[in-house]
Amino acid sequence: MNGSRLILTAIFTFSLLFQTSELYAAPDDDILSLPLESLMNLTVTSVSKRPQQLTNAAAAVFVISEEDIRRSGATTIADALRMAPGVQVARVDSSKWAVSARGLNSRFANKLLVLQDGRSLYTPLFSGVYWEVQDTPLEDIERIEVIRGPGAALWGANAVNGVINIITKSAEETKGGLVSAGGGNAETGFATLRYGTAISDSTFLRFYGKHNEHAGGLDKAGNRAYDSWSMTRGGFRLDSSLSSSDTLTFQGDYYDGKFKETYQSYSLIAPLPTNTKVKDGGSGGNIIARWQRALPSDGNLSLQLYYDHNERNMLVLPQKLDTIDIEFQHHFVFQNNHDVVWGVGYRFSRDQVSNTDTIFFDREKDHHSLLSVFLHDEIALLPGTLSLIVGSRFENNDYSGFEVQPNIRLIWTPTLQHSVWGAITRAVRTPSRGEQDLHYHILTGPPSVEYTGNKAFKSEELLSYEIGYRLEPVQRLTFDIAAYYNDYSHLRVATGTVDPTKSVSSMIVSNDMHGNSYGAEFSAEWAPIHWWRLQSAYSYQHIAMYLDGTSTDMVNKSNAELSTPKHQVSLRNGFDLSKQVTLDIWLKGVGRLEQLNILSQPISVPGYVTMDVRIAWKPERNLEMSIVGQNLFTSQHSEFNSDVVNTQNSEVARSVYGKVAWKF
Amino acid sequence: MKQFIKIAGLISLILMILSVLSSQAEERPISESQVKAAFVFNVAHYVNWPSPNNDTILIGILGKGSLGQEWQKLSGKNMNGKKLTIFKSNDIDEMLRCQIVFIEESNPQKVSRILQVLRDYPLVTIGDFSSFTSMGGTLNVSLLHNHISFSINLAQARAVGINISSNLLKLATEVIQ
Repeated sequence: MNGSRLILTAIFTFSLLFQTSELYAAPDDDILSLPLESLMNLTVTSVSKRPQQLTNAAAAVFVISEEDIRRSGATTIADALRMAPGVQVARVDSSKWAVSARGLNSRFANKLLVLQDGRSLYTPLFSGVYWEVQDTPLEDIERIEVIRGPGAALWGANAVNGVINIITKSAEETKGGLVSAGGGNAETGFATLRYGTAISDSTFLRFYGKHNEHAGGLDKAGNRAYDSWSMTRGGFRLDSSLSSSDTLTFQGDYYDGKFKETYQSYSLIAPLPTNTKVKDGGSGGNIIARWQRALPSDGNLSLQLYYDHNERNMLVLPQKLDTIDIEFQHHFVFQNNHDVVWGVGYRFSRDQVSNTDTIFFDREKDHHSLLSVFLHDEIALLPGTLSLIVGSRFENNDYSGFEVQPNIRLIWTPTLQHSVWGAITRAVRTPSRGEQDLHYHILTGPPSVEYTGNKAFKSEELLSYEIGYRLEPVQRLTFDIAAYYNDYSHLRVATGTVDPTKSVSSMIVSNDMHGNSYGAEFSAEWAPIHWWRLQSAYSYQHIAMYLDGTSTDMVNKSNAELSTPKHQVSLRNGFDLSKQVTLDIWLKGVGRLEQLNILSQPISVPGYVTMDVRIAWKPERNLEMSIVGQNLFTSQHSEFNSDVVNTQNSEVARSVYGKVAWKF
Repeated sequence: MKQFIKIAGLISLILMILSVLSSQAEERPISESQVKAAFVFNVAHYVNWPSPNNDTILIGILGKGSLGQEWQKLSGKNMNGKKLTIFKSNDIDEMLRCQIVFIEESNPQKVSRILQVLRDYPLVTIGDFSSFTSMGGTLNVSLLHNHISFSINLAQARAVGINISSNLLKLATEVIQ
């Protein structure tokens, strides 16, 4: 199926839509003239797509608010994600993170889709996210929505295990100036300057600049590792209300980062890996234009266009990537019981790599396009209490062709205090360019071992079954429980044998693994008194993988099974000690990992329990001073070993920083 | 070339959709937000403020974005000889001069903070989620089985000298004394 067929499908869907819009006609009574008794007897559509009500969704959703981020003391987006249940965040070295939801974690975790203001942060070259360059000022983030479980039907391919949606504030909310600065032993120095202004009654603009210096981690012996880094970043956002129903947003950022890094080279003959110290850099920018129109009766339209450029001067593979993306969405209610969202999107990306002795591609330059259409209908079966959601996304990509990713969900809300939901979803992780044309000398030699891409490599697949329950037994106490069973097939492994007598042995990337995982996540929020808030999250999971065909790739098998902790817990206590002073205590516990390095040697990471504490004093409404202690329980701990790219990992040290934030 | 046709097809499709939609945009069923606006309008009828200083009732909508159409319809209407004036702002200080404040936020932590600021002023706070009144808000209007229902925190109203008619209390699902 090619692109033009897809466009035809879109047109067909679209014409269907406007046949039904005949039924859209509605009473135009002036309800303002009705007395209160009559008003209360009116039947009202219960659907509303306000983002706050995301927690009523038929999916495992967790929202990290602006206040959660500030009071957590987290200094990076990746670290803020540790608050969410079911999300695994582990630092590889000082500037690199492995982040996944519901397991299969890796620095290049490829089953988690990450978006910021509708822009994909996922790099299609390797499939994964460079978390170190996602350092938008945390003060500009309105909320982070974390959706565990497949969200592919709505959000697109690669949203297999979860979706993370970072949403920044409108420029209207950031009028005036903000200066924040501070430093400590791990965050050696940081400063953010932001200024927002009203250009007219309905047009607002803000711009910002930011610089961070981060110290390196620690090696096993407690010495500073060679992995310090710095990032400089600037950007703007303009929001304008063109009319009472139309808004226009323009936003853009540019960043430049410098990273020190230690690479490990493994060899079949040398007993120990050799380390190489390098400096690499990464820069990039993006510009987004978005037009939104609010339609009567809670509908809306949006059209978004963005351009993103990023480049990375990595030792093993310098790379550049340009992306242009256009997306249209329409949300409307018809016949009072159908809440429909549909959209079309097109993405064009062009990349250029510079081949090295370690990694080279068949083609140094390449370009790809992706066309997608989705349709979602939330049907109120019993208005207000039972809804059925059906929908699917249809995509056409250059690697695996046409992909269908449907889902069906049911949510039952018998009373305002309880809701129960369930879902069955199919999602795929589409191949990356690397999996098709890469040659990676994973063991230096001679004899050496080369991983080779496979043009026949197809999408990894997931069929997921989920259930969830939300409960608000009394006011100020909420529970959220979700459980899942994931059935994976065609997962990526390497197939082939290493022959020490040959100068180069080849291992081919193939789809020869299947497996399953099950688990549960629990979160609770309780505010027993107005000055005390308690938030807890616990996640459990179990993964089993099975090799198919001739593959004997124990490295990928055991890393899929055991690079994710079985148990993970987070407990946050927030105290408002007085009108000026707040205290936050955050306890984190993460279970043991059993990873293997590429020579199949075990490199396990012990479990750890640690604590962050933040104390803040706000003497004036516009001034806040805070001191944050992080990872206080032990002097250092390890969180993850690198996998695909052999970065020497470093450990996370106990650290303290102070910060002053002043608004004017 | 094939690439170009795809892009051109997509853009023309989008333009077509936009043109059809903008011509369709006027018809509407009754929405939650319309009924809530009508409810706020009715509330003005049943409430007496301690110092009826002038002949307007100022309604503030605390939230982001611009004033919705349902509120614009209400602005300028008369209620018991007083003119209703409605505006929207995200700045809590602007709410202090209002008689009625409608809070669009539903994150309990944020709302609790907002109510702490507003609680000592003679104004009626209206929210739209279940625990709003128990957090110190005056009125909570929410949807229950596709009908609107509301609860009243009479103690809060009395504390700031606001008088609520018994006719409104009768219709409430819950009254906190």
